[in-house]
Amino acid sequence: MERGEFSIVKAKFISPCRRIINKEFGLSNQLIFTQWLTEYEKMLRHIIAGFEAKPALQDEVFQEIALNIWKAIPGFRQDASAKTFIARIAHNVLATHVAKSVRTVKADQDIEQISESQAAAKTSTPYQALDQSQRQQRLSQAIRQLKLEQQQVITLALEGMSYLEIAETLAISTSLVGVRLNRAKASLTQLLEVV
Amino acid sequence: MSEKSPLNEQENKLSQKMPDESKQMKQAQTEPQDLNKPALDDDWLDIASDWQSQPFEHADIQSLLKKTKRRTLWAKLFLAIDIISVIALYVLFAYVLMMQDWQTATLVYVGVGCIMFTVYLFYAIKVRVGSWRMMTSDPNHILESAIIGCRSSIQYIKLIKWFTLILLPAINLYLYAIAPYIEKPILPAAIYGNGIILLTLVITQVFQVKRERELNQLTSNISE
Repeated sequence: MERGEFSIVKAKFISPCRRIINKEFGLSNQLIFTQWLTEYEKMLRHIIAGFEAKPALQDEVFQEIALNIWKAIPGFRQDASAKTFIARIAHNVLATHVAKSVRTVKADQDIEQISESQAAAKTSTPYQALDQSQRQQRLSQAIRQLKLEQQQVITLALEGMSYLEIAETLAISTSLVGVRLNRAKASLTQLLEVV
Repeated sequence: MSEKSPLNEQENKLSQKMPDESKQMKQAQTEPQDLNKPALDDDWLDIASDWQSQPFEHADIQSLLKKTKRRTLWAKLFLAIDIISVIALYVLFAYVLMMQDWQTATLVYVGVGCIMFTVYLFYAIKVRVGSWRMMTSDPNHILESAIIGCRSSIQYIKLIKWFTLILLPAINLYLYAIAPYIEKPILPAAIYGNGIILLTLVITQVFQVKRERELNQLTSNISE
């Protein structure tokens, strides 16, 4: 068989067959899942930390998000951005998680507030004076104390997303993103200054 | 140079009356900004850098993939088992009707079972498909979707519970009816059947309480 004939056979039979096999056995979905999770794991872990304090629950939520990403891959349209698609799934899972476990979260906040005031009594230093891991811890704690809508915009903004990307992720207008972000920034600044 | 046209004055008056959020939205619309640039300005660079450099434990993506596939496979498998069971029950019912040499008790038992399993399957599909679609839906309606999902789940649990409760006398009546025709002792079968039913009742009760607590939490969040 000549090279030209082989390329025709490949184009007409092998490639469509491979596509069908990939589709049927979910091979392309596995590749997409692996690629997305590898690329966006950092973003997901950070966003989760902005909503949930307990490491065990953080891991549980991460697995829940991964499961929902896996389920949603067949419905993903190529015209949308993978980043915003994944962030939307993460925010939907987290919004439901927070709404279902509000009592636990509030209780955690109370504990955090107590430990915060104790820490503040010992080291009444401004945010900038803390070392990086302390700042990161303080930042996550402060974000978890914000309202849900503010948590959503600020976590996405801190991930370096633009107004358009945040608007696409949360299905709101860019103007509303601006309003919520301003409020979130103001509240966060206040919470960080408390230290 | 400032121009004070009547239109501007009217706009100012209007904006004074505007609620806080819509007023801020109007300001945001009039302010020129590149919507494709990162939403946080340079003042937030340090905080953003702290946020982005947070350490995290990397997941083993391949094992996560395996685990995720296993979870979806189990969910699909349970649904497939439900569907196959209903089909098998209908086939059994047709067979029992055709053979005509079965006990009336068996005939009634299988017939009622067919109807009940069909209703059960309808709810099972509704609940599972609903939860399947929920997480990619509009984030503004995610809590409403979660409430609907939670309510369907409670209905599904109640259905299993009622189904099991009805099965309790049905199984005992059936065993009582066929006991004279069976040579083996009926007691072990009765203990086994009733034990399974009681266990199902306990499990469904636990899940019902858990889901109802979640529903209360969700509805209180919506009303807040």
